[in-house]
Amino acid sequence: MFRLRKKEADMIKKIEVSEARFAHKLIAPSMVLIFGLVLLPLLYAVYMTLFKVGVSGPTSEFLGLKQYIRVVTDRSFWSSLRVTVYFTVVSLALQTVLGIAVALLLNLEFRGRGFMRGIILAPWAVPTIVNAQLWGWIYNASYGVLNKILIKLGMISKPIIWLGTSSLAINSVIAADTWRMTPLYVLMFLSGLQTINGELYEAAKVDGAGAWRRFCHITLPLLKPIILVVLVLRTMQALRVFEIIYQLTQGGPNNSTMVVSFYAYFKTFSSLDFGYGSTIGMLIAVITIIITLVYKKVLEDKEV
Amino acid sequence: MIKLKRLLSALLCVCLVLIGIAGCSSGSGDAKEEKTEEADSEKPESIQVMVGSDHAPYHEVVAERYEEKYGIKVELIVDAYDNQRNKAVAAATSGATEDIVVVDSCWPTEFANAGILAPITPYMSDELIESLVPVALEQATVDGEVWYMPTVNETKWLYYNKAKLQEAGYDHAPATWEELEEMSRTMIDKNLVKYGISWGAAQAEGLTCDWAVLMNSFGEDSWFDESGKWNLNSEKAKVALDFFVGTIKNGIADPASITYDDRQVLNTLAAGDVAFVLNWSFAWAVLNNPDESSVSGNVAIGCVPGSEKYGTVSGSTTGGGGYGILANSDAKEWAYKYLEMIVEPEFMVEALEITNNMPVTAETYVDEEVLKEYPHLEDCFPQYEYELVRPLLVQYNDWSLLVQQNLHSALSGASTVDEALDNLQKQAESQITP
Amino acid sequence: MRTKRKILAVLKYVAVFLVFLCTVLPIFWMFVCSISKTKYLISMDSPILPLEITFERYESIFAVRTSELGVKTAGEVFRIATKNSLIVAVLTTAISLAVGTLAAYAFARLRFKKKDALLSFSLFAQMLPAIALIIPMFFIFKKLEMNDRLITLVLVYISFVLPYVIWVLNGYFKTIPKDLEDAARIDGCSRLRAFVQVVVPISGPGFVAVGVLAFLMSWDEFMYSLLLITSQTNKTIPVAISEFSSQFGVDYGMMMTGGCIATVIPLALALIFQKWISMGLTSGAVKE
Repeated sequence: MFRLRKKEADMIKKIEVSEARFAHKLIAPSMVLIFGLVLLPLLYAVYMTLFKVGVSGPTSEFLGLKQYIRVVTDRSFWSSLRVTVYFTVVSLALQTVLGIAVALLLNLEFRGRGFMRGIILAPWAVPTIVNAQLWGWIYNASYGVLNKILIKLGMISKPIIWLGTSSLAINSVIAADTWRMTPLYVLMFLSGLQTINGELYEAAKVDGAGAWRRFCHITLPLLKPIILVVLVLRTMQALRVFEIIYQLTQGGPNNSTMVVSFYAYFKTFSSLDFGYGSTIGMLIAVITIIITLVYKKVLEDKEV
Repeated sequence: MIKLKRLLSALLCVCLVLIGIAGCSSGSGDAKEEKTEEADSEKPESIQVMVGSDHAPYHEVVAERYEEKYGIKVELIVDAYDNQRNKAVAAATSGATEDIVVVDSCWPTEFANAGILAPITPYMSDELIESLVPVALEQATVDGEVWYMPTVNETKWLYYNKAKLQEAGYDHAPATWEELEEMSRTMIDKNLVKYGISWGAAQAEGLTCDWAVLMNSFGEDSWFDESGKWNLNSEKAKVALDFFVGTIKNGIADPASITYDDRQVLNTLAAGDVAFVLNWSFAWAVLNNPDESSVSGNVAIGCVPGSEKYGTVSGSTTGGGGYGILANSDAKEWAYKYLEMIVEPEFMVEALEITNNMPVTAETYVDEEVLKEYPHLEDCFPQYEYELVRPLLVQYNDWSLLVQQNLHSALSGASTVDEALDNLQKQAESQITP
Repeated sequence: MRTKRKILAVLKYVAVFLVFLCTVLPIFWMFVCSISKTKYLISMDSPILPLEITFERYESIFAVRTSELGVKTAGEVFRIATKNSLIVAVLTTAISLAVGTLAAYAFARLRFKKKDALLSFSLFAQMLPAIALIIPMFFIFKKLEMNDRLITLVLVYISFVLPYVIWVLNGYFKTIPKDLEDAARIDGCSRLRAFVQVVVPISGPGFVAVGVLAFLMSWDEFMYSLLLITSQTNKTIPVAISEFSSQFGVDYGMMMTGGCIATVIPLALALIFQKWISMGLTSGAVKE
């Protein structure tokens, strides 16, 4: 920055005050809508983790951290957390790479680009519940279309039981989720790519930078804010992944797809252990927050 | 600018009011309980009944009659069966206004223990109790109280493709699992079917049911030993599981079975790709619907096979369920009158017609006219003699999950039969109180 | 050089075609399932494409039955749910976008105290999984006698869509060079006007992205809708689709039919929206 004279500095201070006031006005409606609705249930949920909860709500019996200790010493909780982390890391990595690749492709000039940019959104528009059923049948070992095609192409001789073995099942779920969610990345990254000034590339080209260098030195840094946004958003969603599991595998085979949200659901609605379910929820929230903060730190530091 | 301010303050007000009301009324939540008792005999304007969409059509008929008779409106809240439990639980936790909910045959202990349901025993007349099939009532009884009115008398039967059996030169259904295996082998060799049987062996409740059927048909008739301890790894259980795993390994059973629910199991029979499946009563209607099934008219229903080794005749597990009254209903007596109406023989026949719902009223099974109309009922009766009820537990779902996990690991080859059942026994002993 | 360019062009089209296939094939399959007779779908030996097709399932949804009373069929519920979902999703998207844009702008451009904390907190409020929040929410709305209303769903959806909208738009606005606004402000525009006249018109792609995000999140939400809504006439699409099932399993063909309809609607809207935004783009300020 340049040096300021005292007069100007005063002025800036004044502007800052009015700026803050203006900013508060702008964010107030959002804050009211967000917190007005969530705060009370949130407090209630916290309350549920600290007190013994019966069917007619929390009782006055104070448990303190007992429920948290119960959850932390529960081996099933840790195993479900492991599955969740695997799901999150693999699906995010896969989807981010695919998302960037497809976004770059669709940012090129070609005939039918507008059409492709629209049609690419289609998988995302398929409701999760339908997506799960759709893939459930595509994967079906005996009459599913995937095995039929693979057999016809001669790539396999015996049907593969996609959802039947531990290692295949979780990856099959990730594939189904990736198919549906990649359009989100593409859309976000495309919108980011469109703000990049084409002249930058031209200049780099003149300087003799190859495509890969241009990508690393221009595209990626400029996409960083959007990548951060998408990563945070998707991390939150992936850590809480529920519906596709609920519909596709119910946690099986042999608990290999038992993610933590489904475990919380199981405890709440199947075992009727309300406090336990909320406590798991609270722990997921804490984990998500920590991860988000780490992202911000890592990505924003580099940005400066 | 001014507009924005106004909008803001309006929004703020709305939210504050909302929060305020929420605060006040949640504080007065306790008042409700007193009300329940005195309001019991007062005639309500309406009762609310949460029904599964499968049962809705015949509830509609019952509701109409109920309104005529008592002048009380029936509000049917219709949801998919799979969503019912979630809704019932959520309704119960918030001082629900609903009166009647679906209760599956494996829920009553949990629901009773959690205080979700009110027992219906005080309202039941001896006559009514007499009129019901005993096994249906047995499942609804926990600690000497009946917790729901059974409305469907489910069990698992053996469905088989009699046309294919005939083609292979058999004129009867298999009496034992050993015979089933042999018949399957012949049909597979003659290229009549792809596999002999398929199981509902996905990690879900269906697996627990199939397991109960198998264990029972191999002669194991209790989940507990004489001292009341868990008995999950008995010799018979191990032989049964060995057979179960064997069918998947040796090609008798569809290897995809480990991903199937009851409906997907049915599909394989409906497509003519397998010859045998175990299934509930609903399967009858699906199998005989030419739009969904290529074997319509060619299937028969009968008893689950027994075991040659142990000389058993058959074995199966019960299912189904009915409707119960929520503990915080303020019109229990009137709600009960509705339940009573559902099981009037006349409506039971209606339900049989609409969804092949197996009646719970004993008299229906000997009613000549009914039998003439629904001849397959006669093939169905014998099964009711050979049943193993799934254990009625407070932690039923936790127990069932343990069963599913361990069986699944044996079926998918991750552990041996002995390991799986010994492990199950150990886990059940330490985690589930019988 | 020339041949290399040609090869690259061919590769480009090959890649586009592959992406197209991966995107469209499963959807095509969904459509095939919706018009195929069930018996062909479950046969292990049948050819991949069905031998016989039927539009019965679509008829069962669109066939008009005008009974006001009584229990409705799953098809009817679905039809009504489509309308409900549209209302809920459009309202949620519109309100979230309007309110969220202002907030996102403030977070991206203005300096004020506790900015980062507020932004993070608004996100963190949504970190609890729905499973943990749902019972309290249900409890509170029931006490307010606000359950079983579409407006309740709109409020709930806004509360979790809005943080994302702000978060994404904030990131997006940051990628837009500040100089543009500064130039307008030097010309004497107020801050808000500079924003509305300069930033908004060139943020088309950002609004499309966020609009689609908001719409699809509310279009797809299942749990809250399942528990908060009780009457058949107020259900939303995902719940209505889940009703194409019975106690013993799903009616796959009907689910795929519902899925096709539920997919086409937001897709059509996105296309219209995109067209409209890009028209606004060309007529408005030219970027850079």
